[in-house]
Amino acid sequence: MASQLAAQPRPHRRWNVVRVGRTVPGILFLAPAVIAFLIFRYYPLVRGLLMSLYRWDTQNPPGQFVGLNNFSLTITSDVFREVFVNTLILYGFGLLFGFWVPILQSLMLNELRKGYFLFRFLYVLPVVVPGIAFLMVWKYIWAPEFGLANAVMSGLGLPTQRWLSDPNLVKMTLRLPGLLGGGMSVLIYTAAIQNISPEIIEAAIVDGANAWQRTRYMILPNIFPIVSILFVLSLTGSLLAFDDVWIMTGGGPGYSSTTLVMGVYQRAFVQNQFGLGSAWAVVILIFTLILTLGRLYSMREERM
Amino acid sequence: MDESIDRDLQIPVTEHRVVGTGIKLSWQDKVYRTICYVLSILWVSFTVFPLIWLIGSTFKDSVDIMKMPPDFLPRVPSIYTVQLDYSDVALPEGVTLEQAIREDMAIVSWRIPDYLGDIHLGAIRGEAYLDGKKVAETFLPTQQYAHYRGLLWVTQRLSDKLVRREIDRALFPIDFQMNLDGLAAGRQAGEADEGTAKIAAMFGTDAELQPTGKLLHIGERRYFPAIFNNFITAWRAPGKLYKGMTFAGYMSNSLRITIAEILLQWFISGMAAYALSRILTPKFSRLWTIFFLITMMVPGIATLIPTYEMVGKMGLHDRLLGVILPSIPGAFTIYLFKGFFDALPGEIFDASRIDGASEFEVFFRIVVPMSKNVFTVIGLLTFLGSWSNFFWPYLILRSPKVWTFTVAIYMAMGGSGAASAQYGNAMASAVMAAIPTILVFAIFSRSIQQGLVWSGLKG
Repeated sequence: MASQLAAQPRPHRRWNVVRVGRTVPGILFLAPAVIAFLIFRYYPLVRGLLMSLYRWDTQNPPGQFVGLNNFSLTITSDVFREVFVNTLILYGFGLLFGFWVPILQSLMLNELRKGYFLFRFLYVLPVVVPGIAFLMVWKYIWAPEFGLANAVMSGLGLPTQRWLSDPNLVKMTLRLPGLLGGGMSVLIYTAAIQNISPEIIEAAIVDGANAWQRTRYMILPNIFPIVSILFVLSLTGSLLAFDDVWIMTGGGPGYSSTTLVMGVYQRAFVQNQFGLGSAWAVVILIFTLILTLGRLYSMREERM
Repeated sequence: MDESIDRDLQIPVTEHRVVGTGIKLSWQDKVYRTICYVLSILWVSFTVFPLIWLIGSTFKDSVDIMKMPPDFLPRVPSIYTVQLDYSDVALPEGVTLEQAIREDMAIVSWRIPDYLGDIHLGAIRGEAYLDGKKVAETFLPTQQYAHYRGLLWVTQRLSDKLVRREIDRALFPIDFQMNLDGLAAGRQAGEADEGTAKIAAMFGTDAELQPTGKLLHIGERRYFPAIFNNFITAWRAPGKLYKGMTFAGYMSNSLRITIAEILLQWFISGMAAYALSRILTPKFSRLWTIFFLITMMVPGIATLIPTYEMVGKMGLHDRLLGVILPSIPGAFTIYLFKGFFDALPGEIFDASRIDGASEFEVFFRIVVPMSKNVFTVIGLLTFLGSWSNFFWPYLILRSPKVWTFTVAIYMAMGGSGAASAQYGNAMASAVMAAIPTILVFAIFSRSIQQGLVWSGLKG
């Protein structure tokens, strides 16, 4: 709209006055946001890059310049490797338990006539409840001596587990709740399904396509772009996971559930190594940038 | 960024769904639909199950919460009434009748819960009788016991002379009244059961606990209000659990942060988006849009350490401002605002500008009233985000006075450690903190869902 205005100057005499009169307000309107972005986004980003090159001294910055040493320390350290593998495993379990569930749920939801909005409301409800409430109840469920999970296990005659304190189980335990589904993805998929033109579907019904055929050959291909976007986004999400894992396990036992972001936290705020922590953060930044740029690039391809 | 996809995904305005209506369904479709119904009902109940389990568990007392296998329905705790008779007891030397009664009432109120941790105790009532008249009574709900026990010496020896002077302090949280001429008749105690037998046994065996008065009767009855003990404890909790702050205080910290963040997003991001959309020339607009939006690709972790350091230098560690200020840059809100402003009809702006209105007038008089929808969506998204925000407040708010409720709950549940008996209280706090978000979601369901669809795709 703004571009159209400027592209075709109108013959009105006062037009110029209006134009000139807009420079000052333009600056005033933009200034607070620009300043905030400079202070809290751009400056920390640059400073973070800088920090990663130093053995940062918090008392007397910047401390000793070590070049890329922090990075080589990061890449070669066993902890980083373990944590990186953790992240991938968590992503894998997320796909296994969580990723397909909302797709199925919204496909089924789409078939409902009565109660559609109630069901969708209930599916989305967990999103708006503060995360800490959910994490706490899950911790209670996983508690080995008095949790519901072990009660169910022994009810089924299976051996009870130390869900969150067993290094071999903890990553699976963290992602198992994904099976219950719901959440933001249901919302996104249902929105995507509803945006498929009803006429096409109705035409298909008239042509004798049954519900399964409609779902398989019309709805699924139509929401596939959204599925692939969320697929990549969930990898980014895994890379950046912190709150949930931190509250559930604190990264333990050992490093078995430590995520990359938690690694940054530990380097910087537990071991007080701001330089090394920044190097970790820069590595994460590079990963996410690659993912995001890849996603944007592939979407551009698709659209053309 | 991925503009077209975002714009495409709209939650339909009409709550009426048209697909398939009026067309006769084949039997396969009917079967398919029935299967979908059954599975949806099943799966929805799975999805909300943790929420239900959370709410159900808040009604369990500290005994039930550790029970294996866990109960599905909470049990109503009991009120125990201990009646003591002073009609012809020999008072210890130098002790008046009043002193003896006060001391006994303190023993009844404080020692019983301490000794018998495994009975479902909702409240303790002590009654003193003299010649068939009730002369004194105490009442102590266990939730009060739960948070005063750490502050009081009463769990120590009561018979000690020094301590006896402190009886007044021991009784202050208790609903205690005494009149040697007789009190109005109270409720009768119920029948004896397992719990009463345990109490009787306790009085019998422990010499330290021998009351001066004679044990007349121990009664037990269901006490329904005690089922909310966790909520009452969590809400009022002075002292131990929440380190001198009440949960209401933490909620108000969260609320202050949330309101400040919503207002800042509205004004700062809204004005910036308006400038991008309506004031700047296309070239500058594109440039500044990129300047803002490109930060969406930078994850928060990349700026975490320097921001922490900087906020420290500004002297904002341990202050709510330290949470609020770094949240101002909202690339996504600017993007949403801009998309909305771009779609407004341009003629109105030109007309009012030519009429001599300044940009500020145009923004506040025309744009804001016309854009109620987008302001609502952004307000709601900011509310959900900052109300539940955990990591950053946890990092910089170290002293309990400034904790947000998320940090307070995290501390109350014992950090990242294993689940414990304290979970009853912590879960009750979490439920209370969730009520505002659920209410807001129920009221603004459509706006929130639309906002979530957009923000879920922002990446």
